Amino acid sequence: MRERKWFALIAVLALLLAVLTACGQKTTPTAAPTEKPTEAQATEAPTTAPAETEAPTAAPTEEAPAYDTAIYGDLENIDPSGQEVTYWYQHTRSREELLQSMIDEFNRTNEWGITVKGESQGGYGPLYQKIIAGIPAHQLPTMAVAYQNQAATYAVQDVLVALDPYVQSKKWGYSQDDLKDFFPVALTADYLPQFKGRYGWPPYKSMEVMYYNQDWLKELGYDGPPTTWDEFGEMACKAAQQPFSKATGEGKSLGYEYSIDASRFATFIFSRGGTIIADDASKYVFNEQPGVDTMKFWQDLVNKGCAAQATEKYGDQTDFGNGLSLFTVGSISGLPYYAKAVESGANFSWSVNPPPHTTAEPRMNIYGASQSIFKSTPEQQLAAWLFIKWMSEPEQQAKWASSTGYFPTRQSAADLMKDYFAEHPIYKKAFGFMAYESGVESPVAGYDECRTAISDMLTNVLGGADVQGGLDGAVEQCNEYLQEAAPSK
Amino acid sequence: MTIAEQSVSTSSETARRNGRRARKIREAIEAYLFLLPGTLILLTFNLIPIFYALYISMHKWRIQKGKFIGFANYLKALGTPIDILSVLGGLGLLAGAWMLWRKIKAEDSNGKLLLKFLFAFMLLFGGIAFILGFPKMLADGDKMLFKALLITFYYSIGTVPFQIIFSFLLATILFQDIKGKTTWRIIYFPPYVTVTVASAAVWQSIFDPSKGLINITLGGLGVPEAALPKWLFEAQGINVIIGHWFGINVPSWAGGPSLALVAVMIYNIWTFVGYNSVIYLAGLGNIPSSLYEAAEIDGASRWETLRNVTLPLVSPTTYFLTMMGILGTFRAFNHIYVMTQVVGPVGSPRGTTMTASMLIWKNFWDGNRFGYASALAFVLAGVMLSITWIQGRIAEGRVHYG
Repeated sequence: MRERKWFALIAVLALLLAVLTACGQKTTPTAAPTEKPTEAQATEAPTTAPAETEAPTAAPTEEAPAYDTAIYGDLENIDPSGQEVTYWYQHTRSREELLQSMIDEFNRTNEWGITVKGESQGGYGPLYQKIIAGIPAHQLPTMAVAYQNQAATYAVQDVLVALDPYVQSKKWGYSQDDLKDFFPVALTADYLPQFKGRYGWPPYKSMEVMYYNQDWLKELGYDGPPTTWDEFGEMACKAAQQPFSKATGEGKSLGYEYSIDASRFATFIFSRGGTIIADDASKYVFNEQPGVDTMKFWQDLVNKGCAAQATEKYGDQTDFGNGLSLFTVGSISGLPYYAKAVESGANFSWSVNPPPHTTAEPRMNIYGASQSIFKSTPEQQLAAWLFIKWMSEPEQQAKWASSTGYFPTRQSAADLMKDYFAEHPIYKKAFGFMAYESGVESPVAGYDECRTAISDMLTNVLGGADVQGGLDGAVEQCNEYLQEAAPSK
Repeated sequence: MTIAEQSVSTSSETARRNGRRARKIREAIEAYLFLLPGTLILLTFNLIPIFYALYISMHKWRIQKGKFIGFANYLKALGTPIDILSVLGGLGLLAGAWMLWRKIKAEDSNGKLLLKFLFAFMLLFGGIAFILGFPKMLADGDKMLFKALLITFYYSIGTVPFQIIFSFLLATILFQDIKGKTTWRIIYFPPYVTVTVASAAVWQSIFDPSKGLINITLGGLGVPEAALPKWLFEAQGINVIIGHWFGINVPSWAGGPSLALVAVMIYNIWTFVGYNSVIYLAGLGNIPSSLYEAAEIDGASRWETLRNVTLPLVSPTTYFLTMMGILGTFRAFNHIYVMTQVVGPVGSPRGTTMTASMLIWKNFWDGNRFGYASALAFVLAGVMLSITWIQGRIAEGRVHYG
């Protein structure tokens, strides 16, 4: 009996020890898949691309390469050989497969024997939350996908490295000619005014466009898509009264179906010549006239029954495909999904256009998450930079863009996509919009929190609340976040 | 007995005593060693996080630790120290007065007059302090918090009584000698064991205003499209909506919970009725059949038997389920989050599903206000403890343990 008791006691203690040991163990990073990379679809012949190529406005990159050697080491003489780095991203399913195949290719071919371990976090939201939780726990990847405002949030916590020294490095960086190959809009977006530095590098970009049903417009008696908001309202309300002849599926006929998203609101404000945040990033200003006009117009459309919120995830996309919504506005990265929705839905002629505007020329909302590097060792940081730089090479950009619907950020990559442009006229048309002027969503710490406040405002105002009151409340909340999140001086 | 024999006897007595003591010590060590794993797990996963959260709540903590700010987060939530003192002091005095009143009623002591005087004093000053402090607290504290507590209160009131009534009725039916009793019992249990996220997502699609099963059915029954409820997308109060049906204009302050919250309540009731029924069935099974036989011999009707035998004897079950139900509604998160996600940010539509736990989440994840969110969690814990205490006092004397 006594022996049995002691045995039980020892067993309990052994179990406890095992649990505690297990808790203390480090998790092993996910192994990278071993699939072979897909073939690049691009060829070498140049194609039509946005008529740009002013010198990049990346002023910060032209400054003298003064950097902290405690963070970067002796950059020109570091050896990144044999480094193993982790990379967190938001992609899932086919995009993740493609990305993993590209990571494999880099791991196989890079001359330094660097190994990148890619780990999907399931989406932008979980990725951001996991990094936020990882900051106090000191459990961060070597690099991750981050929107500019998220990068600013990380930079406030002093866990991110500025990329200017890498960009400017003679050995590891870009020449001025290389930099000129990047579209200015892509490079300027990653410059964070609160830190006067670059904290992200853009291998691809996206933009908000208006999707429209060409056949339905014809049935309604219009030759083409609207270019002003008044035209948009008129067509939307007519569509709500006169359903599309080929419409399929359940649901009400609508002029415009929307999902609640701060980027949509920013798109509409930009199209009216406004901005979300003041130029010096000192305060939010979206409660000024362009914001008021946007919300009054939008609320009016909802009140008249011409516009309504999607009632399920990606419902705007599905209903557009079913011919139940004449217009939707969303990211160009959704293009392949829209194509599928139309094909499996009402199968009609459709296209994209810049959102209507009150400015003389369209004013776009061009955005996209970039790649940021977290503070680790100089060798690991450099290894991460070399992977990011490889992902930004024209071949890689062309491969990624032609498989995902995103846009490349450099002219030479677009030049490699001639065949893809020929096969995808809607994508080619949208790519031309990159040449238009664009607004920039707030690249400041606290904008993520502000986006939630904007979304709250949208549900409230579109649900019937007072426009000016709603906007003022959201601006007040956003300014509070801006101050709370600002880097300490 | 010789001295030598005496000495041997004493030493053997001492040895026995020492042996007993050693065994006691050994047993105590053994007991503590057996307690150790549980204590360590409790410490690691419960107590340390609670104290750490308290530590966080006293700092400006945005992602990482900032400066120590004492009770500033609590003051931001609850108003000025005077407000808090008035309300908590007032409530404390009122609770004391209530306890005293129960004592006065229960005892036949000589000092009754003094107790009555003390009772009157506590009632008066407690009431005044609360009445003066509460409106000030509402004005000075976090309005979102008070709104969230009101919504949580609605949520509790709108779910727990229905859970209890439906599950008791169901259990009573299933307790009868009906065909396929076991099958019926199995049928009602799955909602509770189904993964919340999955079942909430299904209910979200059932409540979809344009493509959901409910509105399609209502449409099929001839309800015009314009009159179909928007369910999870409807921020209007249920009383306002019902008022419309009867041509009465209900003011918004009397609107009650939004239709969106009512939809979430329906899901909650659906989830817990089966589980509660199983608990009730166990409670019903524990009532001795002799009591029913005695009631029958006494000529009691079915209603009288239910009222005077069944209900009092299942009161411990009712008390347990009510307490767990109320605490559950105060902690509810997953299904509210999943069901309303499609509508907009947390708490949508228009903040009408922002229960206290959702508000804490919003401050923590959407606002990165770790310190303030932790303070709110302690405020909520305080509210839950108070409710449990009140419930316990109310239940005293009303719960019969057979």
